[in-house]
Amino acid sequence: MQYAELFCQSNFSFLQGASRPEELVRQAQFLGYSALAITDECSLAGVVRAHSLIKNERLSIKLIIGSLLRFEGLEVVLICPDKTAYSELCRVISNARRRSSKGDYALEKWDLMSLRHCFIIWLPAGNAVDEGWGEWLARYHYTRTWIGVQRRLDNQEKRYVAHCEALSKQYQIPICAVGGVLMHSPTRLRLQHALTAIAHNQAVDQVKAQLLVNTERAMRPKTKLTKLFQPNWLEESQRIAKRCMFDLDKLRYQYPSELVPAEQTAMQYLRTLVEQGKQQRFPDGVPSEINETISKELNLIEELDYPYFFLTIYDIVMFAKSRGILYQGRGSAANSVVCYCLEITAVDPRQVAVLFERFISKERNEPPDIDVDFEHQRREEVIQYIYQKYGRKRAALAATVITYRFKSAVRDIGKALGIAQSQLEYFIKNVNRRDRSLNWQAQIVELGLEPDSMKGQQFIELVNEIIGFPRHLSQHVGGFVISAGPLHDLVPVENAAMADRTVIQWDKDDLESLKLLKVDVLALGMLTAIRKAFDLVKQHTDRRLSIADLTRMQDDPAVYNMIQKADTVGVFQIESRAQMSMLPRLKPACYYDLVIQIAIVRPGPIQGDMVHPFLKRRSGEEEIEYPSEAVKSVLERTLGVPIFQEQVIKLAMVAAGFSGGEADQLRRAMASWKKTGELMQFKDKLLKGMTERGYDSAFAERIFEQICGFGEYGFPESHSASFAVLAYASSWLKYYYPAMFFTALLNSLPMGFYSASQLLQDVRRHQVAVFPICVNQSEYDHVVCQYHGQWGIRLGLRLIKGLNQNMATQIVTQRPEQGYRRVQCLTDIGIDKGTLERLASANALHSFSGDRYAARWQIMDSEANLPLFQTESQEETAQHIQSPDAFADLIEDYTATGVTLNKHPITLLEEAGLLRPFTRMNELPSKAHKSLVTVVGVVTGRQAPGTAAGVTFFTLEDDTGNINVVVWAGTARAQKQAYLGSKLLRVKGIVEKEGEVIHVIAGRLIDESDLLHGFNHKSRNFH
Amino acid sequence: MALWLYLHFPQLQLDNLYHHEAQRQPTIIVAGRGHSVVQLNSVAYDAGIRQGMGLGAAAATCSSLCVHEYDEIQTKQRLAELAQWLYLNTAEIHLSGTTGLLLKVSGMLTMYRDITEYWHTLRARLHAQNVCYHFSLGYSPLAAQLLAEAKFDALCEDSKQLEHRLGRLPVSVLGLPDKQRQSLKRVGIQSVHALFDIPMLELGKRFNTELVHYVGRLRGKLHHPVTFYQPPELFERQLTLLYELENLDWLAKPLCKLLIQLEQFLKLRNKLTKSIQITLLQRDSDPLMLEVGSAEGEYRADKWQGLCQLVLERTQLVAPLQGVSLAVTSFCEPDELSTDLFSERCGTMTAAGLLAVLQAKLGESAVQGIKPSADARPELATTHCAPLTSKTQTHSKAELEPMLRPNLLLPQILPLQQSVTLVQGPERICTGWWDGHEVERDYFIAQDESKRWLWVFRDRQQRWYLHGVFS
Repeated sequence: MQYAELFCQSNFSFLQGASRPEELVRQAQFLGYSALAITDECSLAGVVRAHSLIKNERLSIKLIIGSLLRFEGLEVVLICPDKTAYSELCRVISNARRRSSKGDYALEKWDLMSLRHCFIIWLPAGNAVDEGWGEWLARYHYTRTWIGVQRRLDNQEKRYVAHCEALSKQYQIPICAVGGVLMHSPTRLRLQHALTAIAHNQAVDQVKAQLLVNTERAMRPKTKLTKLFQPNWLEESQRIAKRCMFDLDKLRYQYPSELVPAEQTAMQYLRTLVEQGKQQRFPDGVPSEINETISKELNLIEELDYPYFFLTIYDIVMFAKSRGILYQGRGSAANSVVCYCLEITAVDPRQVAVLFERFISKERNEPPDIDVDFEHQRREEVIQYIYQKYGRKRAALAATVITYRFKSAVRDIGKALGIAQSQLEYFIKNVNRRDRSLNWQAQIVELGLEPDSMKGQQFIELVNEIIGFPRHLSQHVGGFVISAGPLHDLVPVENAAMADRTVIQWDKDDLESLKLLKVDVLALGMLTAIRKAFDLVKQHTDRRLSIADLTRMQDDPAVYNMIQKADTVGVFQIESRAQMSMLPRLKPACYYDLVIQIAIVRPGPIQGDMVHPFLKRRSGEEEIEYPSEAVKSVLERTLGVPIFQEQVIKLAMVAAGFSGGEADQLRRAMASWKKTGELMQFKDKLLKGMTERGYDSAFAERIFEQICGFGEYGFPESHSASFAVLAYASSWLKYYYPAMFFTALLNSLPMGFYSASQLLQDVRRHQVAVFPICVNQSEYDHVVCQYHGQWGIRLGLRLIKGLNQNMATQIVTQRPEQGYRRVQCLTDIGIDKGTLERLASANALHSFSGDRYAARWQIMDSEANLPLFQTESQEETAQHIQSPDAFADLIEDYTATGVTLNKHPITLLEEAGLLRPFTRMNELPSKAHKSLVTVVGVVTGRQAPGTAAGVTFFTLEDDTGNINVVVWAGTARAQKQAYLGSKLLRVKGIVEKEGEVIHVIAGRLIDESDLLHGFNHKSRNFH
Repeated sequence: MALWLYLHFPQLQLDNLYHHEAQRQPTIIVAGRGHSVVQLNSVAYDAGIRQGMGLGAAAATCSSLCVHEYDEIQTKQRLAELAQWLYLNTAEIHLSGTTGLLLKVSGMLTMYRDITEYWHTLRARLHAQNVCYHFSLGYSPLAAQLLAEAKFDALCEDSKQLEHRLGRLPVSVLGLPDKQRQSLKRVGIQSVHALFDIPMLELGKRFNTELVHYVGRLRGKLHHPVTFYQPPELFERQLTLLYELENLDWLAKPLCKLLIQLEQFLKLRNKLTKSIQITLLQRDSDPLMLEVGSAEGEYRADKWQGLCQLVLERTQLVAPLQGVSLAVTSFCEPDELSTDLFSERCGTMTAAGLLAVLQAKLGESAVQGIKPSADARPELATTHCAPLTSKTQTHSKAELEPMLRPNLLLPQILPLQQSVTLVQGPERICTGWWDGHEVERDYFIAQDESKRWLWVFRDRQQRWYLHGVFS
């Protein structure tokens, strides 16, 4: 007997289906079904996963695409016999989804009426409503309708089956057997019940009426089905499945053609553009080897038929260029010479001998990858351009599947099991997911969950099961899919949470599986800052700069000297703590060193233990040797140590004998390693392959460890190369134009690693004067000003928290020549009281009304606005009011602006005699290695990187700079309160010195936050 | 100016808990959305927990933490109890919020030798209650309150000194909206003293009348209206018997006397009661307390007499009876019970009346109602509920769908003994994992040899059981 399951919902029918599409496919294959339809409710979000599994594992089962739809008491499953029907289904789903807000859908009768190709499997409700719908279906869709009968073995079943048979007779609609599958195995019943409870936002025992009464909606073996269904019903299902010939691989993506001028092919046009670009990029003539590379690249693009892809991106960046929006391409194809000529990237091919082949590989058959970063504050313009150019029907964002993570799983499952909410919050707050020595189950038991109790076991089991289940679809950060025809021929489109955004129902992995191309339009804060810095340099010095200019000037030793000293606060990428501690050791001296620097301080190389060998080889302490010539060719440029993702994949090919296809699978498994855990299947093959070819097994193990590390944060050379350009450009600006650079950074916040306060402290250490906010001096933005022949920074009104931008502009534009003289002058031009309060809080009224207390006292006076009192001098009224002390001022500075130009809190506390003796940051270099030391500082950062097991890095800021404190897990656990809660911390510990890098290894943590009562300085925790 | 005494009870709920829990356990009481700590014991304090901390932070600080949720009703009740307790010694008591009692001292001093004696009496009374408190005197209710809340804890009558102490308090303790306190601080007014320094006129120009009034009341310049505590009314009568009784049958007459007094008491006030407490005072042994209830409020002595008789029938004396007392603490209004011409109140006895009789006869817990439940397990398809409440429940859709179920469900599932013919089925029920009574059964309708229709099922181990019989 053959059986085809035509009605099966996966967990992409959110909170209904209790099995993943992959689990359903595997189980159906195992049970010997001939075909399986994945029919999620008004969604095709799960089908590509099922499709990929069948393809990758070469399963014999046939996948049918379909969807369950509900409308006014009618339930139907639509399934697609062919491509036309598929497009029809996509259209129906898109229409229903677009009518509704995110996560919902609204079908209309017309949608159903208009069906011409989809097969309809009607699931009668078992009541009077069926009469009307039976007649309607028989009238409009007679030849394509079946009644799908389920056997659920419930109380109503006998009556229901008889009812269906009667309907079949009455309307002459044939019956087929369907399973109504919600679970791949009966063991998922508990999870299914829990999902139902979550959907009703109640505990399981409060929604009993809604629960399945048995496990009959799991996939059932064929023997059982034979007993339950009449043979002809089973045969009918099989017949329907046979008629379904549509395969997702048949989807062909059509690029928008309007980019190519008439009478030219896309390839011809691309060649023309590249030719033009050559002239511009190489005004002194193209070096012959570069010319060769270009023609090689173009031939490859032609061969693989990617010209449209390059043209699409070219069109987008040209738009950005025309609007003066700074951008930079990155990704596997972005650093090709073709992209350099098309101005997609500014990486000068002469400076970095990056070979295009390394990025687009014929044998790997993977699509080219180009991400384009735009200024973060102006990316929306680019997105709107795309929508405008291609229309909403043809352009949409890719989806991101939001899945259950630990916290959400604990919350929802806990609620479904009726566990008190306060207890769940207690669990969540106290489980340290970074504690690798103790898994969350053990930690929860420590927190008081009875592990042997029934509820305890169920809780742990269900939380583990639900983690990774999809919850909803969200929009991808910037991955656009653009097509020649309407997108809904290809894939359903639905509304995103953001107004005017639409997303397709597939995520980027799905798109990649089907070889559909997406264009990544991403936002990058540093580009905004660099562009603003360029503008400021132009404004004040009349020097015109661009990123390409900076790279063309070749490496500047002075800039690298600054980088080597780790003087990189504010600089792109190499500003993080970990990066900064590596700079003095790695001592980057050229562009490619920066490429390595950016890639090496990453989980992959750290986890693979590749960092220290590299450092040793670089400093000449260790000899560079290669196990073979093949390996040498891959690793030579990184001194024999694999650092980039591409190298690791290439190694798998040359050293372990992976085929191109296998290497591609490995790359994809790396990308989704955290979600699927698929990587382990490659371990044996890799180790075996390498030992067979005579490589050391320890080396092979290290390579695999590194692959696992990459899996979490894959970092390819192609991305690093683009980032290095920005790191260099920002360093260059910081070195030559610090005032402009920091002004631009401050005007681009929020972005980057540091707060305004930290940036300002750094810039002042570079002898740039900073002037306070003042209603009579400041603009809205921070501006560069001149001061004793030097460049300084005047803080802008934008720094004031909660200040309305319109009001601020009003203040600036209406400012009288001699400035504002009284509060009244501001009220006269329509500045409201809230704004005045904020100005007073930021001490921006200091030029005429004294300190902030006095300013507020004046603002509060309700009678001052009366005309009679206007002449009265304002000074008199402030006589009852005292002045704030330095500490109060400090607190107010931070509260109102997050920044103070006055004394540092540590200075104030010391002056007040509140601090016991301690060592300052600038005194640390004179301390001996391994000596005891006590430091005190404001906690500005807590980082617990996944790569450094059990270590937390604290950044303590005192009045001379930042101190790096390392806290081991044991220390942290023993002194939890100070570890978690302190704002001002005293640390007794040991100085560790390695070259110019200084750490303090914490022994005792003493929370001195009480001294800062009311101090509102937020630290940047655990990023 | 009148003199006031304020008693501040910072941790009433915690004080209540203390009797039940070991003092060593760090204990906190949390409230609000963020579950922030509002009360904590000294062990918790020593562990580093502070008031206002979130639950998460508190839990992270101390792992073996005992957490309770703040219970306002309980706290209020406790405060009222304390008021009642002190009422014996001082007349004018005002319940201030949920944590304080304001006592008007001025009037009371005529009853005591001096303030010290007055305070000693109160202190002894409070000591017996085992509560943590802070106190202060003051020449305005607000001043006394602020000082008590600031733990002044001194019996100081001197107005200068009191004002001085008050002046030192920060504005953050003032009972004003947070916004107001903030705006005071934002112009540098940090202490009560600094606030008092500003002329009222200047304040008036810049703050709303609420603040100005508050300051006026704090300084005792404006009247501060308070409502004083009234103890609840109750009925309590005791009767000493002329001779000792050994048989409760003889109690009817004396009890009737008390019940008639109750009837008059209730009639005068146009009230009913749903429950009365009878205390039997036995020679040389503990008094015996009996509770007699009537689901329907009642005032008539003869009705109560009947109900009492049923309860007394079940009661055994341990020692001869010397006296009896009757107490009623809660009352209800007669119109709570609507009488409907068409309701099922025909005959002389209402459902509630019958319930009262049954409960008096069998004990309260022996009488229960039933209502349908949506549970798929047949034995749980009905659940018990408080009597006479099921009708008010709304029925969900699933409950309304007719299901083929036998009229008689056996109270105990029996192994199937007879041979049967299966007629219809199976109906499969696999559910109930959440409460530990998971079932996996296939139900069938079957007929045995005597043509009886049976409801049988087969479990996972293929064993057969009989669960019900169809009519």
